[in-house]
Amino acid sequence: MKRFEYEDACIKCSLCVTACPVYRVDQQFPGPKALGPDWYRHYQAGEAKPMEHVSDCTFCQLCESACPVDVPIAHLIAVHKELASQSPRLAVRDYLLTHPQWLAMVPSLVKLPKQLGVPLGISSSTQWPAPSPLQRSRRHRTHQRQGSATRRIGIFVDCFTRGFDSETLLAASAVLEELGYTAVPLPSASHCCGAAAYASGLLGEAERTARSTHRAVRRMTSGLEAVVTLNATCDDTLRVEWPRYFGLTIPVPILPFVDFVLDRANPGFFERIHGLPGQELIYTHATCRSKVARGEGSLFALMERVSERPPQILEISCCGAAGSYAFKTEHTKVARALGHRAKEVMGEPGIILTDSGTCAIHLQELTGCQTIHPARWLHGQLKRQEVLR
Amino acid sequence: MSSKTAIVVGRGPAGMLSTSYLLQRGYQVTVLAESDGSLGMWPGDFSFGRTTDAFQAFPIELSSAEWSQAFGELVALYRSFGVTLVLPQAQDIPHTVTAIGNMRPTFATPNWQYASSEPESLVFVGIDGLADSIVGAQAATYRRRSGCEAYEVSLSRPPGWDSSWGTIRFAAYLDGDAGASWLAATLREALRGVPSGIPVVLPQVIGLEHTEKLLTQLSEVGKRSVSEFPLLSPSIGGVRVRDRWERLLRQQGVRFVSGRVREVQPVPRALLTDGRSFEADCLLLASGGVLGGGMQVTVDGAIVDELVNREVGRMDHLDALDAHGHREIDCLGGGRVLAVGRAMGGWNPNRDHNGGAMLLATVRTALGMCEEVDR
Ligand code: SF4
Ligand code: SF4
Repeated sequence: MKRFEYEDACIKCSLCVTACPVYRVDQQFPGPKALGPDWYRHYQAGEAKPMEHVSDCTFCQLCESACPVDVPIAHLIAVHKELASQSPRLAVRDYLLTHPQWLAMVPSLVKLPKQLGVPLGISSSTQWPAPSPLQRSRRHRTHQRQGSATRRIGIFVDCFTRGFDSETLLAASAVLEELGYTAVPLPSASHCCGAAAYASGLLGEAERTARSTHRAVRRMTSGLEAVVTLNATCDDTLRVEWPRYFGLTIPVPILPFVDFVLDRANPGFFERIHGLPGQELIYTHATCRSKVARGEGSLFALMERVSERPPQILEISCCGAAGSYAFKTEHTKVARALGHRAKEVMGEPGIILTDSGTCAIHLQELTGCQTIHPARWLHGQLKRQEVLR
Repeated sequence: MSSKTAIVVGRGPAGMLSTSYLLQRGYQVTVLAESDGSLGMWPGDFSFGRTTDAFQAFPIELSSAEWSQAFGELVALYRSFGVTLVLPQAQDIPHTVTAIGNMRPTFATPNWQYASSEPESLVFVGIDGLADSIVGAQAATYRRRSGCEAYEVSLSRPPGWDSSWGTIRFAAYLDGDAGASWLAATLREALRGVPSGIPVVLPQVIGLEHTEKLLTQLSEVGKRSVSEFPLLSPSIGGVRVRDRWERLLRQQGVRFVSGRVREVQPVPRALLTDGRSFEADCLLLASGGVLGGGMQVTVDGAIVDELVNREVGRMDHLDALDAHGHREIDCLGGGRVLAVGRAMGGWNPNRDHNGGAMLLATVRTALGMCEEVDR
């Protein structure tokens, strides 16, 4: 693991505290400044005990993106989490939840009665995803296209997509094809970028996971123009965190699906979808990690170009899902408090688009409105257009 | 869809103001910023120097008609995202009070913040458990400075308080029903015995979203004016302004890109350290503020890092911006790339208390130049 930079640069402006979504809803949460740079100073002096509630941090990194002097606040908090002692029961659960790639191999496990998870500290009130694994036959089919002479774009198949949202992968592949590319799903077996482990403070595990996935991805990048991602957290992890914290690089550009489409599609593509009658009202939700990694507004800009009705922004900060965060019993209250705002800010029902599967199930549960990846919406519109033609 | 495009670097007050005014002029705007701006460290009032006196020298002079037009536009802009800015009635410069009891000049002031042209007797309210709330010292200083009476009352810690409660936590608590009723009840109790009619000033933590409603209710029930005095960073007034302003800009289709600018080319084009590049018809550099490190463009076109008095580039082409350190990214002027806010040389708002005038004058001038180049 690489050493941190600027870990002691804090100028105590507290802008991180103003950006932290958990600090606003959780009355005991000490906040990014106290848990990160303040604590780390004591820790380096050898005198720090872990603080209570450190694990309530969602690792959304909004604090880091607010900080004017680049203090790696959330990453210092991850070190803090690593030191916080936890009951063996929760340690088992966290170990399982930080290996979503295993769950992605046997997604039907989530169909077991929820009560079974309660002794482990798994929330029984947070909605679990429905399994929708990638079928072998589908995998096979996508692979066969690789021989053609078109431009090839990799799609990083994250654990969630692999186990629970193969529809999004198929939709994204179809949209890329429509734009004239061949989509290559990678890696071939179930792997995780390591973000889940890092978020829980299992830093060694995060690095091991990342290294193995890096090997599997790198092998498949030759001849690719770029790799697009379907999940904002994986996107930020692959492009920014891997090189910064583990020294792992991918030789081709890594881009979120939405940015790729916005950048590469020609006006004809947008116009074809734009003209379709009878579209529902669209709300866009930029996930925390996409704000941190790339900024806000590209999903909204894409929807402005393709949606017949003007899209609206779901005006919330963090929805509270935060990967596996909402699935842990002790976080259910905070996760729901954050997510509830979504319902409050929606004037009328509509469809919510967001590039994270866990945010999607959380938002769908709390708002009652269908929430899907933008690729699926685009693909749906393309299919409608074919029928209408 | 608009044909003109603009890039704004920085999302502090100068960047936000530029963005809003560019939108009004039909530009499509992309904001590039690597961190939050200084809005959350600034109470959100616009200052205009110590006096309105005609001899006050600003690096950019506007006529009094232009000033009043500029402030009028500002008030309308703030209204569009839900903040009421109050302008002084008379020619005098009003003052607000600080956490340590000083009288600081202000000019256009959000209606939640205390401002007055004349010194007057005040009731200072402290809240136990809130850092920077030092009502005894505050009242003593105010008495000395203003020559007026200063009453002091203290509210006890709210239920559930612990040492992790900063200003944001207090504000979020008071936004909720439990917090609002706690405040109403304890304040009523504390003000018993204080002569009626004397205005009350509270630390600036009275909610983030429901501030105006809370203060109006407290004023009506207590039959006296109730407003806030600003605290140090993070400044809740600025956070309110920031959150509401950004919400409006997002809805107006502004893209907020996270990333560090490494190089600005005269095209104009901005290159980010992560390899992305952005081009537009004009580019405004609003990154020289409190957090940007205070770089200046001198009259001969050199860009100088004021802190170490070192020339770091020329106005015609800036590169290796990141090598100067992320606190020092700055500025070039002329043509389609212009500097606004503190990035524009010659202003020293810390000394002159004219930060508001600086923002309005520099943004206004830069926009005028953009339009000229377009023609
Ligand atoms: S990572 Fe997110 S939840 Fe954690 S301290 Fe930072 S802003 Fe708060
Ligand atoms: S934003 Fe950065 S510099 Fe400011 S208090 Fe937080 S860690 Fe420190």
